[in-house]
Amino acid sequence: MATGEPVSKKQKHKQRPTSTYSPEDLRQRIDRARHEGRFQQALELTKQLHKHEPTPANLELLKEVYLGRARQLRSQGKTCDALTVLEVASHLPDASEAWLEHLAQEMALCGEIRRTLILLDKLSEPASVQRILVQVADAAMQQEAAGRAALPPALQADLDRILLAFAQVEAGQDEAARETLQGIGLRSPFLEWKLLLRGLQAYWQNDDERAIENWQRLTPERLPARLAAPFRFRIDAAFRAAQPPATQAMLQKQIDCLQGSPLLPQLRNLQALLAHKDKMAAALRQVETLLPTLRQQMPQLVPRLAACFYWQILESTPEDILRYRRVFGSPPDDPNFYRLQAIGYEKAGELHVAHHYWQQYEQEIAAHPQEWPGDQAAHARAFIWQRMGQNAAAALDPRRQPSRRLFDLLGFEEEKPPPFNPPAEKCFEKSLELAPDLLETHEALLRYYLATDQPAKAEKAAQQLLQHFPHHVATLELLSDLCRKRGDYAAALGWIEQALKENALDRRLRRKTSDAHLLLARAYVESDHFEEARRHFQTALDLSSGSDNRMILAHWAACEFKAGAAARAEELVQQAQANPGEPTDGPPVPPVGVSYLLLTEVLRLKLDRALKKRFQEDLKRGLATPNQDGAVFLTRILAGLHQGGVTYFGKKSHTQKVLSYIHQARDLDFRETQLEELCRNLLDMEAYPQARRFANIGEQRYPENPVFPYLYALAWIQQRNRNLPMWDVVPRLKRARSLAQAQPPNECRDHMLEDIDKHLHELNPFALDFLSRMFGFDGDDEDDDGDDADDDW
Amino acid sequence: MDDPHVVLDLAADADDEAIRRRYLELVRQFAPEHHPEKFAAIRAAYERLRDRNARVRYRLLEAGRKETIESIVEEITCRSSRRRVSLKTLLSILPKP
Repeated sequence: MATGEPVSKKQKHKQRPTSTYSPEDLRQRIDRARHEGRFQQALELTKQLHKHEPTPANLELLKEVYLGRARQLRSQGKTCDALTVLEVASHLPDASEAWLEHLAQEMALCGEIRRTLILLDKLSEPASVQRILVQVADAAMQQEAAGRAALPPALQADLDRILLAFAQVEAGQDEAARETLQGIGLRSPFLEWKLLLRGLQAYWQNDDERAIENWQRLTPERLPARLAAPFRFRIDAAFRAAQPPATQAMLQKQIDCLQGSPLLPQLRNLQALLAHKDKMAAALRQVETLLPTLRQQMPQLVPRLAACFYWQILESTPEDILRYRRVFGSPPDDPNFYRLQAIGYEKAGELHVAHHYWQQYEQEIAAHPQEWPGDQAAHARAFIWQRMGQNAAAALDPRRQPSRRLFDLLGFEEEKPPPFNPPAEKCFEKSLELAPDLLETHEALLRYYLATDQPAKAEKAAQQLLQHFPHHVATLELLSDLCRKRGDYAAALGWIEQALKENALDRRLRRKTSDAHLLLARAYVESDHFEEARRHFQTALDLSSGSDNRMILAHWAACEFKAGAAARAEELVQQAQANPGEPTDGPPVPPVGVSYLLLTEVLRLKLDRALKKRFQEDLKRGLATPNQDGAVFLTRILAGLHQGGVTYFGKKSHTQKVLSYIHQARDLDFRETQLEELCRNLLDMEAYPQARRFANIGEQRYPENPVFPYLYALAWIQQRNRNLPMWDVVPRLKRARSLAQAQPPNECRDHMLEDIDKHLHELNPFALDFLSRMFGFDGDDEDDDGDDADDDW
Repeated sequence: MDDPHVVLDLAADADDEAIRRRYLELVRQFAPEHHPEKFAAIRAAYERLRDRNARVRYRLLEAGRKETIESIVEEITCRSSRRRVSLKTLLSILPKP
C-alpha cells in the first residue's frame, strides 16, 4: 500500500488482519450475525474465535453455527452445499453421540442416506437411532430406486411394502393394500407412511372423517404430513383455517393440481380479477378463453357464471355491457340490458335516467308476456311501475334535494329538477291497474299521499287498500287517525274499532279506541247529546285503565255539569281527584292535572262562572308546589291543545302559568322518561327555549341518551324565526347520531337516526368541506356545556 | 347454490301448490335437527318462491344476484372426482430443491 498501487477487493479482503477483534468483540459479532440470519459470516467469525481460543465453549458455538448454516442452506434448497458444510463439520474434534446425532439428522434431512447410516452405526441410543431412521425412510421414499439401494435390507422390505401398497391403492385394490400394510410394524420407520396411505384410502373412498383421523396423527414436519396436507386442506375446515394465507394458497394450488378440474386455475384467476372493479374487461377476456371448456365439461355452470358477471357490471362501466354481450350473449330476462341500466342508475342516484330505463324494461315485458309463466308478466310490470313510483316519490324527499337554506346562504337560484314522467302517483295507479292486490303498491301510494300532505287522497287510497286487505290493521288505524284529524270522530271510532277487532288484546289499540270514544263523547257534549256522550264516556272508561280513567272522569264531570246533573258531576270530580292507589300502566295524573283539565273543559263548554272560579283556585293551589308529574302532565295537555289547534279564552295565560310552573320545577329530580316527555311536549307547544333548557338538563343528567341532544337541536331547527346556530346544532345532531348508533336497533331509534340524517343533509346537502370544518360536520364531536344563549323564560 | 328452483328441484313454472308440496316433502326429509344447513337453504328457497309476488320479485330483482365465482369454484371442486394418484404424482407436488 505504501507504493500507492491500487489494491483489488480480494487482496484487500486477504490483507484484513484476522485477529483485529478481541474474543469478546467476535462473540458479539457472531451473535449479531446469527440473529440476523447471516450464518456464513457467523461461521467465518466463529472459526476465527475457535482458532484464537480453542475452548470447549467455543467448540460448542462452532458446532451450533455449522448446523445453523447447514439448515439455512437446506431450507434454501441447496442440499449439496448443506452436505458440504456438514461434511466439514464432521471433522471437528468431537465424537459425542449428541453431536453425531445432530449431524446424522441433518444429513438425513438433506437426503444423504449412506453417510447418515455410517454415522448411525456410531450411535448406541435406540431412541436417537429411531429418530434418524424415520428421516432416512422419508429420504429413501423420495429417491425411489436409489434410495432403496442405499437402505439396509431390513428397511428395504418395509419400503417395498409401502411402494406396493401405493401401487395397490392407485389401482383401487384397497383390500390388498390393507393386507400389505399389515406388515408395517409399530416400530417401523415407515409407520407414518402407513398412516398416510390409510388416510388416502379413506379419502378416495369418501370417508373424510377416517382420512382426517389418520392424517391428524402425522408429524407435521415429516414428508407424509406434507404429502397429506393438500388433501386434508380440501376436507378439513379447521386445518384449512389454521394455515397462514401463503400456505393456503400453496395447498390450494397443490390440490387443484392433484384432484381439481383444469378449469379451476382459470376460475381462480377470474376470482382475482373480479376483486378489482377496473379489471372487468380483462376478466371478460379471460372468460372468453374459459367458456368453450366450461360449455363442454359443465354446461350447467355457464348461466351461473353469466349471472355472476351480469350483476358485476353494476360495479363496472357501461362499456362492459357490450363486452358481456359478446362473451355470453343477451341475458334471457333482460335482452337489452334495460333492467341492469335502470338498477345501475338507481344506484348512482340518477333516478330520472333510471325511470326511463324501467319504462323501457316494462315495455319489453309487455311485448313478450309469454316469457313469464301464468299471469306473472302483469305482476312483473306492476312491480316495475311500483318501483318507478317509489323512485319518483323518493326524489321528492328533501334528503335528495339541496336545501333552500344553503342556496340562500350562497346566493344561488335553486335549479328545480325536472318532473318525473309519469309522476309517482300515475306510476302507483298503473301498478294497481295491473295488479290490484299488490299490497306493497297500496302501501307505497298511501305513504306518498301522506308525505305530500294529501290527506283526502290518502284516505281514499287507504279505503282502496282495505277492499283487498280488509284486515290490514295498520291501515285501519291510519284511517282512524285521518278521520280524527278532520274532526270526524264517529268515523275515526268506526275504523279503530275494526282494528281492535283484529287484535282485541292489543293494549295500544284498546287505548286508541278509548281515546276515540272520549273524543266522540266530548263532541256529543258540545252538541248537548248527553245520553250518547255518557254511553261513550262509559265505553272509554271500560277500555282504559289506570291514569287514563281520571282524565275520562274529569271530562265526564264537565259533561254532567253541562247537563245540569250537579250531584253526579261532583261525584265524578271526587272520583277523578281521588288517589285510590290506582295501578299505573301509564304516567300518573296529578291533582293539578285534573284541576287543569276541569278548568279547560269548563271554559271550553262555557259553564257557570262559579265553576270556573272554583277550578281556577284549585289550579292556583296546585301550581304553588311544583312536582315532576304535574310538569309532565300539564305540558302534555297544552301540547295536545296546541297540536289540535284548540283555543279557549284564557289559554295564553294558562300557558304562561304552566311555563312558569315548569321553570320552578327545573331543579327537581326528573326521571329520564319524564324529562324526555317534557322536552317533547315543550317542542309540541312550540316553547323552544324551554325545550332547549330541559334538553340540556337531560343531556347533563343522562349523557348516554341520544334523545336529549337530538331534541335540543330540533328546538333550534323548528324555531324558524331565529337564525340557526349551526356551530351548536350540528355537533348536537352528530352526538345524538353516534349515541343512537351505539344503541340496539328499534323503531324509535331508527326513526330518530333517519331524521338526524335528514337534518344533517339539509344543513350541508353537498357535503361541502368548508361547511364541515366550520360547523363540525366531520371530526369528533366537541362536547360543550350547551348553555342556552337566549334563555328567555 | 343460489337458484331456489334448483334447491327445491322444481320447474321454473311450478305453481303455489307444487312449491308448497315439494317444500313440505323436503322439510320432512331434511329435519332441522339433523340437517340444519340444508334445512336453512330449503327454507330460504321456499321464502323466495312461496307466492306469486315473491316469485316475480325474485326473478325481477334477485335471480342470480348472489351468484359468485367462489360458489362456482366450490361446485366444480365438489364435482371433481377424487381420482387416485400414484406416489410419483404425489411426490411431484413437492417444491424442487
